[in-house]
Amino acid sequence: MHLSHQADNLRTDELLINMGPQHPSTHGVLRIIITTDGEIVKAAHPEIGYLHRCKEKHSENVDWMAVAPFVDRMDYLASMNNSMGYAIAVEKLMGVEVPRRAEYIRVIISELQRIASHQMAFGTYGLDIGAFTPFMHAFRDREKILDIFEAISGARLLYNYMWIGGTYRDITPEIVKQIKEYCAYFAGQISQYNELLSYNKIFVERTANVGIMDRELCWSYGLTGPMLRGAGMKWDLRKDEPYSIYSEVDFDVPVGKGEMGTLGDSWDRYMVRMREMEESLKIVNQLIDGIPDGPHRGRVAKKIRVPKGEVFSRTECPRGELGFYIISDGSEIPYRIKVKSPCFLNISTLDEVTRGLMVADLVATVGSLDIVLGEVDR
Amino acid sequence: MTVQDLYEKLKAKFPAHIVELSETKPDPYIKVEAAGILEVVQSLRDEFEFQTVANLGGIDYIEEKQFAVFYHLFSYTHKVVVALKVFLPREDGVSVPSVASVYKAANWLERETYDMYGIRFEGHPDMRRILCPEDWEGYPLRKDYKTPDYYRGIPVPLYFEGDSSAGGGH
Amino acid sequence: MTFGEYVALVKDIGVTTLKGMAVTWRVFMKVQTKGAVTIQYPETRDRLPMGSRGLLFNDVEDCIACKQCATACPVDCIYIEADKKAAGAEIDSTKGGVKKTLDLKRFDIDVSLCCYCGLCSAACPTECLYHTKEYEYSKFERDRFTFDFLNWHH
Repeated sequence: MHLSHQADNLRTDELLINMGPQHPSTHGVLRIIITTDGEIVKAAHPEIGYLHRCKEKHSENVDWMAVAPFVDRMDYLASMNNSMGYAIAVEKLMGVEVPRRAEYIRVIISELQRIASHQMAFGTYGLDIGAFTPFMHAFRDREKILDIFEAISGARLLYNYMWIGGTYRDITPEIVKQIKEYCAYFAGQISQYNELLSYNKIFVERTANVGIMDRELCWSYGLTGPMLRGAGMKWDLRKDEPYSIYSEVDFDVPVGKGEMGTLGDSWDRYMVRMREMEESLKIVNQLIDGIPDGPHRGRVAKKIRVPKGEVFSRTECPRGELGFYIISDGSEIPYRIKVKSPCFLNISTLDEVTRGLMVADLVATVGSLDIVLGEVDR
Repeated sequence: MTVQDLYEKLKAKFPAHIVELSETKPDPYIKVEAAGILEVVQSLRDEFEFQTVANLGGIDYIEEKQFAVFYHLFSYTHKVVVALKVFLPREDGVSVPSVASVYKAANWLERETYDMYGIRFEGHPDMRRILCPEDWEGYPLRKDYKTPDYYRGIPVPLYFEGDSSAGGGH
Repeated sequence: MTFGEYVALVKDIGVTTLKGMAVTWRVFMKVQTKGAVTIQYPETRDRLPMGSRGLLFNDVEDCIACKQCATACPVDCIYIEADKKAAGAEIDSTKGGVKKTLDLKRFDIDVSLCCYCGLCSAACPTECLYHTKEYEYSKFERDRFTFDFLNWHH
């Protein structure tokens, strides 16, 4: 026909889309340069470095205690877990013993922080897909956790609470009561989250079979945390290489099973986070009644001097395994601190995983990676 | 399997590339020659079942006039982390073979090491800066690095010397 | 997709969406009876807990110019200058009885650099430097943020 003959002479080209540093769906200042053929993605190159604050250089000029506020500001949505990772690494180098009371307080607060971080991930993932209500519910519940943290440490988001050897301040019986009330309240909320978003058929259609990462890809890219557990591998540092008092509590490690689509798709990773919130609540309930008496900080000198040596220690943060490689030359100032951040490796998978998907599926995949640019760029 | 066992097996397999096991506490490292790092890492992944990279970066030993590149590899089967270190002379333009063909995680981690120290990686598919802007001069994490005064007309330090509102600390 | 599968998909979407709307309806009814969670901010304010870390304040009557706070600060925002007292000058003490052997000439804090970490107030031996609960202190010009505590006239 006349029209199809014209169609054969039409020249098509690839479109270059800039998902720029200012964008509501990129969870921070991230730039992705997408080359598409119509609606299908041909290549997606992330560009990072907009939030680079040279933390590793700063930590070579200030003393050991003053590195802690810098470490807080890396993953600013899970700040207690970051500080705990740094404190555990330095305590391994120094050989300091942490008192039992401080260990109990640290684990309770880490798990509460994990719940708060996953609530944020759940709320903003819904917002990326287009659902506005779960965001409000998640933030209403998260505010209560931030109120507890303000009573404990004095700040709402960046606490500087996990000091080397223990914690900054002790907790009072009123705070214990506040935590118990929160646990009783939150137990009823997770089923509400599942009814609002997780099993909603539109959400399932948008996220199942999208952004599939199998176990071999996770191993090659060095992915850990919910990404690896969503791919079906049961690996959690709190169970397999326990630190602090995690070997004394009883909890399960949720793993993706490919219920709604393929194993390792975005819905699996999202569901692993939702189930982890229930497990964290279990841990807090087991520990909150039995906090032993004692000091809240071990015997540490005012001016900390760390003996010569190197250590590499990893802890389980809400976004993956955070690693600290610390080299000390015996003085009051660190020689080298290298932070291995999980979100840095999470973003590097974007090109390979989103090839062949549509642009809207790319947004759903980026949301399921749960990135925080403060940790990517440090 | 401990790091000591692994060191002995590797030394038997690659006598030319493996130099020694260090005595640092609490985590020792295995010193590897720069020319053989690709073979050693390939064999660690294929025969010794070290499935993933846990960490990769650079160190500036200014007193000994050396750079070092460190690799931490982790095995899920043996549950052990092995640390490898490659020492290089502290000059501009030094290079090390890239392991990005073995582990895809090394792609971005090696780009970051190049950005911060200026160590090039031969055979890397995309060797350019990742965190600093593309046309930044200098390599920030070196111990003798001085921040430039201006970058494209924007002043870089917070306050300049002689500025009246600055106190300059204590 | 057959017509039967299409009908089942639409029914699924309808049922799960209505379940989600039931949650929202219950929250809506709870707000009508028990009140909303949001507070109307400038008219009502939240009561901050004890120990909240807000704006810094230094009571210079008690300051012995030991410079522990300036050394502990990670961002170097405290500027202290102190001289030795001239021979024969009188030595006064703080409220707690500690002798002030140095003459404090300058104590400025640049609060736009302060990161509210609490390391300085933990290091102060006489507890003259502490965090207040103040958080509403915005200014129109950036150089108004260097607070001079020796000549405090708020």
